[in-house]
Amino acid sequence: MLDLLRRRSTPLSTAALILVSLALLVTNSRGGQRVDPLGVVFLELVTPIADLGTRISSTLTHTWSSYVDLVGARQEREWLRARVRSLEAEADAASAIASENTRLRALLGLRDTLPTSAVAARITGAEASGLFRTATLNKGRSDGVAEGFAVIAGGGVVGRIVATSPHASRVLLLDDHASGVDALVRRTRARGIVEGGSQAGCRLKYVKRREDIRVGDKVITSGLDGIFPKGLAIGEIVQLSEEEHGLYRTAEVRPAVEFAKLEEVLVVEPPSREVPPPPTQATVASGESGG
Amino acid sequence: MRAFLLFALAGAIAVVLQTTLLEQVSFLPAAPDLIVVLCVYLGLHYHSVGGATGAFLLGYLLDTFSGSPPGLYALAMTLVFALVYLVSKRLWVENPVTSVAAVALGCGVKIATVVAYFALAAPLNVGWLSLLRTLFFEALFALVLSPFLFSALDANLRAARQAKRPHAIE
Repeated sequence: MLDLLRRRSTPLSTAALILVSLALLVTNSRGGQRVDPLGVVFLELVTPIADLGTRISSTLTHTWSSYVDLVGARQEREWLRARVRSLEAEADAASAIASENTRLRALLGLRDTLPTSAVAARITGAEASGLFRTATLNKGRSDGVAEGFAVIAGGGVVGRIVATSPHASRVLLLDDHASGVDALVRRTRARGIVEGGSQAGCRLKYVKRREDIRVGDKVITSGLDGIFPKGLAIGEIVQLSEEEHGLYRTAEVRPAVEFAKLEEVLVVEPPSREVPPPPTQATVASGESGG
Repeated sequence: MRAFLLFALAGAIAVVLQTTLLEQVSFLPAAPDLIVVLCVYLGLHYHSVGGATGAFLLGYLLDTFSGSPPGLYALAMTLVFALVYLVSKRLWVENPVTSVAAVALGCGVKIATVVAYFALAAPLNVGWLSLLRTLFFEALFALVLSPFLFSALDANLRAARQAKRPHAIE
């Protein structure tokens, strides 16, 4: 009998355990008091491991959530950066348009005051070598621009046209050493010639020694050179020469126009080149009677 | 004793994994049933009272930590052991395919037990479709993981036996 039990121990013990389980299940399913003889033991034994597992699990979950949040934040940051760049570009464009609008209005206002015709042009390039002070304009002979025309901006004198092609022209800037403009000191009407190539930008020369000129005096065009209309700003005297003798005085002049920041200019036909209107009968008659 | 400790530890880790770590993996529809794999392993390799008791205790452990009425998984796992034990005594070529087939059989027994319990003894709150879906995925993941678990158990038991041998010689 014992031998049989020993040989059948596994099926018998399994059957016994099945019956125990079934009994447990039936007992606990009836809704009465819970019968759980090993539960407390298992809880005590496994809880430390379960606690560790929970900690690992929550750490992993937290790490994963942080990573997901980080990825989300990174994407959002990239999106916001792109948006900021886009808005900055729009703001820059709007600012540039507003600035251009202001400049063009100023040019338009200036053109209305000029006695001769003028063509608006855009500066498309500067002197590449750096040895000369010139700039390229996008208007040429086909637009009515010719050599010797004055170039001005809202601030004042820019230079004069020295070369033209059908659709472009080159302007010699006021501060080039080859430039020369007949000028007046606005306060005292002292006359001189403004030339380029000095440290300050330009130099007022050939002012009679007895003339009263001071630092801060505004220098304007005299209109006598036949190129620039009278009264345009050339610059401001920033330094007087130290020479005590000689017939003339010299002064350093800072140009009124910032050439590096120029974008639009007006090309003005010289007053002397204007074709005079055809004489009428009355003027001919009066001329004859006067002469 | 070493085998008992190994299974006790494996059971504890499996239960913890099932009830904590793997539960947190949100993209899995259910946690793999690692306990059933252990019971199948016992049914295949431990034809003894210890094997049967081990399966019962593993089921009971699962009962304790899964919130099921005490006895449900103890019954299911003992039945899994019994069936695998009976089948393994009558076939026998053992290879990874038959092991996975045994796990499939064990999963089937467990599913049948749980379904029978809810059909006969307890009201089902979650809906049959949800229950079957959960049981199906638990079984599927258990099948997928079973070759790795079997290999790990084999390796650990082999190491335990090798560690024991010098003492036996002494």
